Amino acid sequence: MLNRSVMTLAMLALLSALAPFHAARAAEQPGAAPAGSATQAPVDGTAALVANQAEADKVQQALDEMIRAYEMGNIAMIQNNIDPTMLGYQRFLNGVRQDVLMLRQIRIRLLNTQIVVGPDVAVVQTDWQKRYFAAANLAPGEFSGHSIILMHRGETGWRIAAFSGDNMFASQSGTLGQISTVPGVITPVAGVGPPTATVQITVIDPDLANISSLTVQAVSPQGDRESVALTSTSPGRFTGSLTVVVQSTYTAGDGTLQLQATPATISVRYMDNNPGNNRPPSMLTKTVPVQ
Amino acid sequence: MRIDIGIGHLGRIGLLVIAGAAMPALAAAAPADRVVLADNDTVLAAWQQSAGGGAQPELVKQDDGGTKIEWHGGVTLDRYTDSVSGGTQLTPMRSGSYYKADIHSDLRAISPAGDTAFAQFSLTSTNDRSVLSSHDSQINSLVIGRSGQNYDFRFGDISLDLSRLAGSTGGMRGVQAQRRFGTSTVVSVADGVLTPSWEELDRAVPRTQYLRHAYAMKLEQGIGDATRLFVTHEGYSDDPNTIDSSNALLTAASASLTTAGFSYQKNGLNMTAEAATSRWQEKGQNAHDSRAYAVDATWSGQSYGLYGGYHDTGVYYASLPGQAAPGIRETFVGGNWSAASWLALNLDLRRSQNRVANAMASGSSTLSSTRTDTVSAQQSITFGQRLPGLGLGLRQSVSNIKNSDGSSSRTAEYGANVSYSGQRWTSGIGYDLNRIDNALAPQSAGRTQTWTANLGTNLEFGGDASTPPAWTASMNVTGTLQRYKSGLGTRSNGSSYGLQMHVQRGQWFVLDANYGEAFVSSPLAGGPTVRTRTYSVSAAHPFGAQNAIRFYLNNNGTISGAANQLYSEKQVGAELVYQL
Repeated sequence: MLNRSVMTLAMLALLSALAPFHAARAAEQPGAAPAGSATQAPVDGTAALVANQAEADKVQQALDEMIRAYEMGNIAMIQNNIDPTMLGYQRFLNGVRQDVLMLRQIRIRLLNTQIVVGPDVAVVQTDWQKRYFAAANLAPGEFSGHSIILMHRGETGWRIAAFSGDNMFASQSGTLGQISTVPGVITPVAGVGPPTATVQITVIDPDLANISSLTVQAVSPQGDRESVALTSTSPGRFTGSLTVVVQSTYTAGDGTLQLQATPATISVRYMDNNPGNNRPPSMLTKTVPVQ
Repeated sequence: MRIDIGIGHLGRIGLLVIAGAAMPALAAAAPADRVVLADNDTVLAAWQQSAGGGAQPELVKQDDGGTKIEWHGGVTLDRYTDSVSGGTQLTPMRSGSYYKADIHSDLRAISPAGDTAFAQFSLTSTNDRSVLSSHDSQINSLVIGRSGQNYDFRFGDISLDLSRLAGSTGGMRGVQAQRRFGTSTVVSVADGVLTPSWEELDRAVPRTQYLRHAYAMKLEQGIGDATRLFVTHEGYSDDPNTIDSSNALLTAASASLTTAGFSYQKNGLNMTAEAATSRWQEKGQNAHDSRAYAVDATWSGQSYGLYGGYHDTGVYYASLPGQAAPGIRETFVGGNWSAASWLALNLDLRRSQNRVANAMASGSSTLSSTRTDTVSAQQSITFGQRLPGLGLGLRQSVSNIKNSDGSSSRTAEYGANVSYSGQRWTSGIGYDLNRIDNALAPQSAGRTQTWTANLGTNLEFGGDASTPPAWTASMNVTGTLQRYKSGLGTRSNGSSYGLQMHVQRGQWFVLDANYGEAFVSSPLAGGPTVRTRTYSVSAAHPFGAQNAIRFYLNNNGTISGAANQLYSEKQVGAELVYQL
């Protein structure tokens, strides 16, 4: 990493040093790169490159309009405000349609928002919280995440060109799942039999808003592996329980996770097919201490 | 070298860039927490509009060869009190008295040749955790650099847009340089760290993600006046020591990516083609190699525009910021055609395969592959001089979805709206139907019907053809009615209505008021109806050229429903916008 950074800095220095020798040829440059070349705006003039926050308000406004349209379930407006050539365009729309069907009175709140604007490209980084009532029973729910949104300026204004991070607009389009346990620290209690504890496992994954159940895996340090079925309690929220027993032997697949001794650490694993950030399918692992 | 320094004058330094204080922006109820930079013409237009069409100031151009130094800065201060009830699943706000300050600064030195050295900075400070979740201040942007006709160098927040498959460096904090050699060669490089904020980089707040060290390079070469070849290379590596293991759900990963392609633009035809190969590896696991291809083309004529493309990204395809979605194969064509002065048509045909879908039929999170075939069309009709201002919009979209597990579903959307826009009045009515059929997974199916209507008017008082009106006012009424039916057979209704009002007296006073209510009935027998009420009032008094003081009241919450659905958010505050 250090060598790479040194090389890059050296290249930067070289580029900067060469600048004066080429300044005189500036007038010969063509005015703009081909439209649609998906490149950074051309190095064709100071004003265009530096006065780039002139569009910040429009960027924020375009994003706000998208959020309001999503909250209102206005699919047509959303469709008109994303680039039809966006990678994953159809998956995005399929997710929006599912949300319109499954969530009611959606409210998205942005926080920690940062906007960096260029002449024709803008990057919005923001945390978000999405609150809603589930269509099935009007139970309240909440999703949260961090998004990086790439926006391009076109003939009709700013439009979303790409998403990274967690997608706030479309369940199924990529949000990192969350695993939690209650209690956070497991304390087996001795009774008639060996020390035993029950732990409740919850997975929140907005990508699975239309799924009724999922399976996680619990693993002990000695190698016991148990599948735990979690059932949906509201869109994207799944809960189930696991019994942990401290004893000298274990049987994989018997529904009880056996530990030889405490203290120890068990792992809860969940395969997130769409973990956000457009990251490939990834295994999420939550470690839980056992006292 | 002559240096002119001016602050707050319209004369030789040019009109100062306005931050968050253009009068139309003030008139809106939205909090003024954004930085707005605009060129002189835009600012002058905003000034003229806010001044009720008064005389527009003229800029005095600098006729000597000195370097200009410009500084633009400002602050927006808010002091407000929140009265809140309801759990965290219902509201992010908490009761209390809070402050919020947005500060921005933009310093530039512009040489006679046009080269600009610049330092831009903006900061938000607040004790309200519903604005900044875990800390009292946040650097919103920090950029220092120099830019000329053939080069651009910057440090801080960088956003180099590399290509469709390589993505951009958005979210990276580091250094970026672009350099043009000759008439047709451009080299771009960037190096830095991907992190959600400057504060996480500095560990001023607990980190939620690994610090991702990243670099990116791009070489562009023009051939003739229409074609450009480009090659990009980028890579990243998560630092596993930068986050506590108890917070790390994901394993640290590294990736590298190389893409090559070309773009062509001539006579209305734009075309870009690109191929890429990537390697992605989680720490301690095997590496995954993957490939991706993207071809996009647009063709614009006098009365029509066509587009088409093909995207194919492998399941383990990894780009630097992750903007290129993995596991997607999509082919599409579409276009728009102004068939007549009164008729515009749009069509989009698309086949898309998502290879990282979740199997819906089995009701579990099993990895599946989903293929979607979609036809979408829109028609816009106007009625010319016979019925000026009247418009009709129609849209249709049908998707057939087939899953690799044998299940299938169908989505159909139909919409129609009629709108009228006159000098004083605007109005519209619309109907939309959104239907998803899925025999094997009825929990994923359902139907939503929506009726909408709006009526608005603009009024002016105290003016004539030669003088601007003393008072302007606008009012808009909206209403929505929805019917839901789930695939499981349950039904519920929703409705909402709203009233928005805006009153302005020249440049002296601006009043905005909104009121709305929304209802959703429970699909469960005997379940309560959730009723939400929202209202807000904002009164602003501009003073000076770009400053204002504003008082506001916001109220939002449920007024009926079950105990776990009730919340209330009330906010009363004052805001000062001041340009230094």
